[in-house]
Amino acid sequence: MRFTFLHTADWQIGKRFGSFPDDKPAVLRDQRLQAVDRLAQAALAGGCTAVLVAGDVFDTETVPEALSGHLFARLKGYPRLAWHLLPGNHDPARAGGVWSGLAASGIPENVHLHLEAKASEIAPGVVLLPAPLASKRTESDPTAWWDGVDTGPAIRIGLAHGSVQGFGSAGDANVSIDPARVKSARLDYLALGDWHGTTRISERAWYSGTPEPDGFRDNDPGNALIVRIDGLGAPEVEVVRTAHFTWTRRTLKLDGADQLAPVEAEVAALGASAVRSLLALELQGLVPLAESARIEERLTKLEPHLFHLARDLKGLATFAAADDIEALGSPVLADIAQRLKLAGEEGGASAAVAQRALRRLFTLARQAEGADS
Amino acid sequence: MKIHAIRLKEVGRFSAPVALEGLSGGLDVLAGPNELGKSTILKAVNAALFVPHTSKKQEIEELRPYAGGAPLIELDIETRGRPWRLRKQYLSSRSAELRDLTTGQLSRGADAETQLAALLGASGHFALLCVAQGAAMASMAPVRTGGATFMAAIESEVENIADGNVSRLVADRVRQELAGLHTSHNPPRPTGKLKKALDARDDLARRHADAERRLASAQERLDRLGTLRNELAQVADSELARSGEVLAAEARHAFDEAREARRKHAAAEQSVAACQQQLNSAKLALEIFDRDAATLEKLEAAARDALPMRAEVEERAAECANRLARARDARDAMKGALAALERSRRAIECAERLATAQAAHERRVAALDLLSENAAEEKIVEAARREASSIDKLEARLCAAAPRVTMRYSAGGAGKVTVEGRMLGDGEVLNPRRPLTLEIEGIGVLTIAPGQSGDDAHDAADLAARQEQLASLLQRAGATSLADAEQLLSRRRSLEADVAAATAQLKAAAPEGLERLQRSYDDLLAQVRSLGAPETATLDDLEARGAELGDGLAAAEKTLAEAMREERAARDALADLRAHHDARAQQIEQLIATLGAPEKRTDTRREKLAAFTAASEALNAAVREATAWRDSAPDNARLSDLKHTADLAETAHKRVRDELARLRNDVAGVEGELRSDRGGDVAALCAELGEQLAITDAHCCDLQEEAAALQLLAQELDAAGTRARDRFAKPVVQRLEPYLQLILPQARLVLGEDLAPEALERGSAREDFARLSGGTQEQLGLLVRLAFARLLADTGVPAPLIIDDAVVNTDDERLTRLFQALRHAAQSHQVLVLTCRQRDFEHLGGRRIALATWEDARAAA
Repeated sequence: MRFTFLHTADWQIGKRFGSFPDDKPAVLRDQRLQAVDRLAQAALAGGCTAVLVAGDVFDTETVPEALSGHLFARLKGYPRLAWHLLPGNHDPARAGGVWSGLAASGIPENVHLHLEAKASEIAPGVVLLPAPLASKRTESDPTAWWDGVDTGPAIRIGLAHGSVQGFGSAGDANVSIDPARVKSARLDYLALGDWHGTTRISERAWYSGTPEPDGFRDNDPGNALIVRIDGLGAPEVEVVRTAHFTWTRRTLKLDGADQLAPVEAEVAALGASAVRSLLALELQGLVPLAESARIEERLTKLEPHLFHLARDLKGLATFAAADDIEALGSPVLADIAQRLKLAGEEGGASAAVAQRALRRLFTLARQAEGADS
Repeated sequence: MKIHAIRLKEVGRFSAPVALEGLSGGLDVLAGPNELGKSTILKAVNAALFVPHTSKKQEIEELRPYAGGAPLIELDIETRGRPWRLRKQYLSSRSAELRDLTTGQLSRGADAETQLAALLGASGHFALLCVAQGAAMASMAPVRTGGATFMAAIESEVENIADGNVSRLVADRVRQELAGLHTSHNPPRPTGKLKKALDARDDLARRHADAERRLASAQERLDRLGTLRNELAQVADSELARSGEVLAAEARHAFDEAREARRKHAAAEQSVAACQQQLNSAKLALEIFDRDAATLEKLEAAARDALPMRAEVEERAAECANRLARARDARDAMKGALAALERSRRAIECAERLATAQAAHERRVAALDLLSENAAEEKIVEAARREASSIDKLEARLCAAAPRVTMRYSAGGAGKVTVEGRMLGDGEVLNPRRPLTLEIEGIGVLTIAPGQSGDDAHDAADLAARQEQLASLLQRAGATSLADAEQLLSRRRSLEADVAAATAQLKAAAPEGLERLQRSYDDLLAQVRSLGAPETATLDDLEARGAELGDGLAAAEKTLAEAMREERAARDALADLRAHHDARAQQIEQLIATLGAPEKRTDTRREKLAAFTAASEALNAAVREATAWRDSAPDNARLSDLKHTADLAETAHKRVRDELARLRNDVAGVEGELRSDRGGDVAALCAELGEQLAITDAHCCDLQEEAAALQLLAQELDAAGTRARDRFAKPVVQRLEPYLQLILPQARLVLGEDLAPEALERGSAREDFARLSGGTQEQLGLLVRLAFARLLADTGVPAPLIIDDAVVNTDDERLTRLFQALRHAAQSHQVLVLTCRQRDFEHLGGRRIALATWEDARAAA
């Protein structure tokens, strides 16, 4: 028998993105909800009848009811799909938590909450073995009970949220899952959540990753998996892209502004999609002051092309070259620059202040030259 | 430049042309009294050199004399080794001329101004240095006025002074940016962006801490909710809870039954008591009935027996009453007789008084009648007396004045002389006051006409008047003469005394008045008659009779008293009998009313007997029932046990119920709080605030680092500026030093960045310039000008220094040293001293110049 479903996880609905300025947090939050639509469309396009969400549907237990209401309204909008939701470490199923409120206020018919460790037939001949989390942390393996469940000849699909032993977790939960569970529980497929990047653990065990990236992690987030189980063979797993934004982290070692060119080229190559890109750029190295100013200028020019540029220049040190000092065109300022340069080379907290003062001096001198001319 | 001559016309007080000629170009001194015009000369030189001839500025208007005019100023100057003549006229017929006295070349108007500026070079105001009395130091600061020659002079000796605008712009910008982060306090305090960032960070920290607390509370609530639900499940599902309810119900039922049995028993006992009471009432009613019947019978018998005695007592009482009446009548008669006697006595007394009063009255009336006929009142007689006295006096006077005629008859002549028909007696004296006619029988008539003076006439008139008055008075008194009047008066007095006596007697006898006394007497008499008393009895008779009647009255009183006692006793006995009869009758009536009519009493008794019987039977029944309930009701101890058991069971069950309710309430409460937590999404908020706090904190650190960097930069710029300034001021300080040591040895003058004096250092002490004495300030100001002038001279662009009474507060010793300085300075450049202190400046030296008439033909025109 054949069963096709979409495996996703870590929606983190309600995540605030408070560190972003202006209205960017609202845009990022909204995209997490819109990702659900993309998942639905991908599922329908892939011929799926069910969507299995392996935990962390919500980012916190205290998500407002209005937001969870919005989500359910979206899910309800796809009645041909059965949405199976599993509590994760961010949204555990416990008294007073987000799920108890939702259950009490009513859920759409096509949405199924697996709040208890109980096998459930989700389609004819298909049994879902959920491992809902009831707390943020647990010492026990929530999938342990699967081994003893007899479901007859039905397709057995495990749905769990946690860290497969031997494999690091992106989340802050400490929920260990035996990687041998697939075999011991005779699973046809183990749909995992918690790791935000799409990762194959084995032919029958995958992390789908989060459908919409939510951090600068180079672990291939922004995907969902269409899983086709047909008979006794290994399931066919297709990775489908669902991300709106791309989050990229780059580290560059510079000794001049020109070495920003690759990043600039990369951004340029993105073309129109650059506005859907977030770039975390960490610069390291030692550059002359003039170069430092130019680097700042080029970064400032690069920023508007992207949705967000997070620049980290802590690792980029500057120094004043003889040319720099001469270029000041003022003996007084040159004298001061020389003094600050010497102070900056002495080391310590005062050295950092001197270096910064030197950088400001050069910046102001350049501005003054422009004003004077 | 040097000035060799100054000529003025229509400038200030100089309406007529004046000139200062022959200035040496070294030390020139113009000493003159106040209001000589020295300051006007200085202003005029300044104007000619630096103010265009076309100017209408106030400083030019102030050069115009009070009487009006157009200021004309001419200067002979020497600059760059060549002599020039500058001439300017202001306000009216404005003109400017500059003539090269070597070549005769002349330029006019704007050309002259241009050429003049070129001659003065870029030094501008430093082509001339002035020190006026009390002039502000700052106005001469070369940096502010931007004198290029002065700056060039300094720069020629100092390297790398000019740094252009870049460093200044940078310094300004640094200060500006630093002011946006830190205040200028020491230590500096955050302001502007930095303060805002720090405040934002602190606010975020507070909010984050609050969110963390709320999140922790939310987590606690979740944990607690789980615990509560577990407890609730345990309590709700407990077998004990269910069995406890049953036990409680059963125990309560047993207790209720026992309590009901006791209640029933108590009710039965009450019923027994009630029946007993009823029986007692019925028995009592029957007994009372029988007792009343017996009493009635006794009373009726007693009433019958009492009748004869009552009649006897009534008869005796009547007899006593009669006796009493008679005794009273006898007594009253006695009293009446006594009263009549009294009346008689009083009537007699009254008659006596009446007679006395009547007699007095008659006497009074008679006296009054006589008095009415006597008109010789006291005052009339007295008046007559006075008149008579006056008349006597007048007559005496007149007589004294009148002739005295004495009649002496000769023998045989008696009676032959008559006057007015009356014969004069022999020896009769006459004092005729009017013509007297003596008729002498057989002889004739002799008329004696007495002479009369004015006084005599007056007296005569007066006498006549008085005589008339006297006659009138006598007539009024009814007398013919004064003696008569006196007699009448005496008689009147006597009559008045009689009237008074009679009146007194009348009042004594009849104080109430005669009429009233008469009426009283008449009344008494009538009473006496009515009482039958003798009218003619005497007082003694009356008294004797009174004594007899008194004795009789006493006896009658005694008899009366006995009769009264007897009558009272009889009456009391009768009243007593009647009271007994009435009481008995009332009692009989009451008993009859209670017992009923005799024919119905038997039935009544029968009824009461029946009621008694019924009450007895009811009591028996109640006793039987009470006995039955007593056996089934538990005693107090047993009831107490049952209650205790029921209470315990109830308490236990209630505890379970309360616990359930509490747990449900707690669950609802926590769920409500959790809903609120979700409403605020406190977890996400906490995370968000944490992120924002980290960013804000980093931003604050960045701004603080920025502020530190700017502070360091500012310090470096200030230090660089100080170093530059020090180098900048060096040329001036070098020139100043020799002069300063003359006046203030061992002192050092600190110049500000604009080269104006800033402070004076003497040893380790530093005094701000503004706090120095006025004299020291003016001396130092002059010395700085000398230094400026020396610097300009040393660089080949000398400028004259004009000193206009600028050292008025300098003591003699310092003045001497200043003179030394001025003499020394004049070796390098022109020093023109204008002073009013002629004597003090005698020792200065130099060339003395004086105002003279400006003889130039063109000026005169």
